[in-house]
Amino acid sequence: MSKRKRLDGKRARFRRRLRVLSVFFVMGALLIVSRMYQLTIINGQEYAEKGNVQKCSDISSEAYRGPIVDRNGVTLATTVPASGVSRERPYAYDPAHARGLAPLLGREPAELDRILAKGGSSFVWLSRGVDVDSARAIRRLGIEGIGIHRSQRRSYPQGNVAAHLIGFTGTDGGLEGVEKAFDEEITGNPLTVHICTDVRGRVFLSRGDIPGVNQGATVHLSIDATLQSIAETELAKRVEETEAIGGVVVMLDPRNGDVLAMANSPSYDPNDFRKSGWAARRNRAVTDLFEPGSTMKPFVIAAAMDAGVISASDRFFCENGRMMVEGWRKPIRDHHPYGWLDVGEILKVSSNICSAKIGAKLGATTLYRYLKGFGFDRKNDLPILGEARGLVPPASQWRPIRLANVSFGQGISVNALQLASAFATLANGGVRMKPRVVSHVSDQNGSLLRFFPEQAEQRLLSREVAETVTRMIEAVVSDEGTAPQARIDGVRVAGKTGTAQKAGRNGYMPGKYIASFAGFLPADDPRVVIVVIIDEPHGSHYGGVVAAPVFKAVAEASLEYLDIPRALPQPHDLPPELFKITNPLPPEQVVTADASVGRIPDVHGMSLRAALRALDGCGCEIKTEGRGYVIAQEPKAGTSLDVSAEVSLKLSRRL
Amino acid sequence: MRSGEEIRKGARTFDSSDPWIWAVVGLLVLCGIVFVYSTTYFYASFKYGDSFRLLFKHGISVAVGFALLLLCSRCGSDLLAKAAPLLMLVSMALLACTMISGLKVCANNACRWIPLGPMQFQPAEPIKIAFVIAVAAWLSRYQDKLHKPLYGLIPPLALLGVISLMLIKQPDFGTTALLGVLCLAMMFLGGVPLLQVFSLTGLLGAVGGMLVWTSEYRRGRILSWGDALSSSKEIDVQGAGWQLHQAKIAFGSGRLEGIGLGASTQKSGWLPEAHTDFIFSVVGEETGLIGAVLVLLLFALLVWRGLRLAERHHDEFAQLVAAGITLVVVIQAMINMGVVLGLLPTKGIGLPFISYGGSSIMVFLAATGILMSLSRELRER
Repeated sequence: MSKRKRLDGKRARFRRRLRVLSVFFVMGALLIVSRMYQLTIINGQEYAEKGNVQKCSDISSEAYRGPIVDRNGVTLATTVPASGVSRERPYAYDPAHARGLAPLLGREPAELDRILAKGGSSFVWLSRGVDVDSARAIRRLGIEGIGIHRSQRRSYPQGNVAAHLIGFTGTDGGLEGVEKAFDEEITGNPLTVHICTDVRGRVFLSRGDIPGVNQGATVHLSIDATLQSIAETELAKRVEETEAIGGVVVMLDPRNGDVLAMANSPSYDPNDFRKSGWAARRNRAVTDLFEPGSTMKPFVIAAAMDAGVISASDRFFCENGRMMVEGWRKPIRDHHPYGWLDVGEILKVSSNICSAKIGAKLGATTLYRYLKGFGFDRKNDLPILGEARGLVPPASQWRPIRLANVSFGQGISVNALQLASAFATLANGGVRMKPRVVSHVSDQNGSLLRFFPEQAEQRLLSREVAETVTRMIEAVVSDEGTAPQARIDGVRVAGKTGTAQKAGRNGYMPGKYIASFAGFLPADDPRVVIVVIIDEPHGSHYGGVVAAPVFKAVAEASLEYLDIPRALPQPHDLPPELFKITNPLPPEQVVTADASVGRIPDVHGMSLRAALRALDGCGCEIKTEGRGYVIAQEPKAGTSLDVSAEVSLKLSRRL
Repeated sequence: MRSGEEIRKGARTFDSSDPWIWAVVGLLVLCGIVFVYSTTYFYASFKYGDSFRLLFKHGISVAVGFALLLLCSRCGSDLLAKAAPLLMLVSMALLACTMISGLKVCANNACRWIPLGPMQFQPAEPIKIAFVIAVAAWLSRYQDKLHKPLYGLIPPLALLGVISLMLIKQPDFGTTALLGVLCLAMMFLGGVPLLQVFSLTGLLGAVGGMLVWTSEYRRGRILSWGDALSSSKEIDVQGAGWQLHQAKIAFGSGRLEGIGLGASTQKSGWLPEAHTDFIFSVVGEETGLIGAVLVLLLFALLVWRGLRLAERHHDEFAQLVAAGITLVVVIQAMINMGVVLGLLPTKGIGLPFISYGGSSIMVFLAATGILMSLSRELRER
């Protein structure tokens, strides 16, 4: 019994002491809970902020410059990822560094060594456009204080195609052309990404788009890269043949005012614009003014007919090649003496005297109004820079000699685009469409940001007058006209030659001419206006001889490319082998260079347009030779893309 | 139709031990699996390229632990009492291995492990349970002589001293402190006179304080803990205070509801030992105050059932073992939480059932098995 009692006593003590311990535990638990409450509820905000500050930051990344594409979406300017390399603090100079870095940065070791050795400033860019592979190699060198930063490099995959229109970029954005005019849109907005890193700086969380997706706006040109490249090739060839100092070809769609090509010579490679001078980078088609000469005559006659002062059947006496104008001591001359000519013949033989007579009949004020209507002496408000307004003095200042001169294209200055637009007004039946070089600007998702609509101006000429004058200048390419070289078999061509002496500070410069040919085709349903200007040709200086062949070559290639029907001679007129089907591949077959595959596609047998499309996106520079279809390509199909930065294509009319 | 009584009988033939313990330990282990995965996938995928690697190892430990649990739940208190000296000797032998240069495995300047096949084993884990059983066996066997210091005070103190010397050699001051507190509590429960318990408390306190002050890194921890407690002072986050600073950022960021399971950002290297000793910070960060309190409640439930078992068991030895095991769990959990919350200086002690660590999870599950076997003894009587 006592043992039992003692046992009970022990159990009771155990229970009592257990309770005491439990009290300790409860107190401990309460302490823990209150501490948890303090950390989470009272100070939680503060701790969350502390954590955020140490782990996370907002990183702002520049957008990639948006691409510039032609009317068919062919890339003319694009941006490739690159790296900027810098010397930063702390950097310990070592002469070996320059030797290691120089080849990767593409700089002279001695020059680089000077920069590296120079102390003082804490941050110096060594290069701002190193390709990704070189940057990786630099990182592998592991030099402390050499920083590598995400950057971008502008690339012009088609080389000098439309270089003058597109312009180029420096380190801080667009410097010329569309690159400059649309700089803000193309540059885009920096993207801010909220990123958090682990303790070693590895990113494990990012809110917002991953950098690289962010891209500036795409500028869609009205230019057609194929026509542009045809125009450039033909122009360059002719400028070289005639040893001219330069030239311009402008192609315009008269139906909507789209500039299809704007070729300039001399040209330059925007990928390496620093190697060229200002003269080569000038977009002469809009910046340079010249006296239009005889190419002005159709507009004077159209104006006179539209105003009703003359009719197509009127005849004028051309004074046998020599006429004095009131208040001027020198006579006006024609190249050949002519007697009585009707209006069409005046245009065909390009008589200055009769044009002056018609101008005088029309009167200065009316002629000036019409010239304005054709777009002379007006800016086209193109979204590109450096466009010249033209130089037509107001009619109130015209003395009789000025009126006579203007009537055959002297004493006023225009640019090539204005001249093309004036011809387009004729071609479009008397209504001028405002020229445009940019059709729209879209963001990276394809949404429209800016749109440049087709803009028809008020009717300038009646349709009958426009068609009548067109028919008249079709005779220019006849054997009796001034430019039989511009004639094309199977299609009606309307055009006008121009040969103007260059005006210097002290009057006309002897022996310096501007030869031009401007026209459109087909005359019965005009699809394209082509203006060719050759500046200071050697040898012959007549527009019909110097400029017309370029017109013909460009026009023929365009007919083929634009699929304009041609009434070709009947088979029995020609040897049969010319009529073999020359293109065994379907013309629209497009094989695209797939970046993931990284191989150059096979473009044999493709038209230039299809080939450019297929190679679009390979990031390589494309050199073309000849016209027609691809007969040879270098490097071969299947070559890895990163091996070759340049693809050259040989084209021929026949496969 | 079977009656409720029959169903209960049927259940009892499967296992008649306390279902509360089953449920609570199951939930704690489950919770551990979730948070071990949450805290290791980032680290494991970087280090091994396999985000499941550490979770898989943890899973193996849990599986082995449950096997041990079932095994231990079959042994009665009689067998346990007989095996007590052997258990103690084996555990001490294993612990001694950490002092042998060929056998010990070191990490972070502490040699606490011995190799066990492809894994490592930490003998400090089983020594806690072996110590509980040994002290319980001694105190229950000589319960009538405990008033004499030679029986009540000296033997547990001697055992504690020997083990502590080996632990401090490693060094593992956390487990030493845990064993010290455990020893006092066991003596208190076992009926050792209060005077002896209090004098021992004073002695252990003095020895502990001296140990802390003589060691540079322990003193640093104490000092940084002191700084951390007084929030007015800007703590040295680069040195010893770094881990604690990060732990508080993690726990505090969770606020009431947490930032979401798996969403912790602190575990990405900012908080060292996020999957082991500091896993409770991540519990707080991801599930907030609510989650942390729920985990605390689970431990409280376990303590309640464990102490209830101790109170009701008919055998003094079993009473002391049940109470001792419960004490190990509760003291270790409270120390761990206290460290994580900045209430106690940093120690290398994990959260029972939850922290990553094979030895710990296996030993705690085996100890749970012992609790269950005692529970069955009680219920089947």
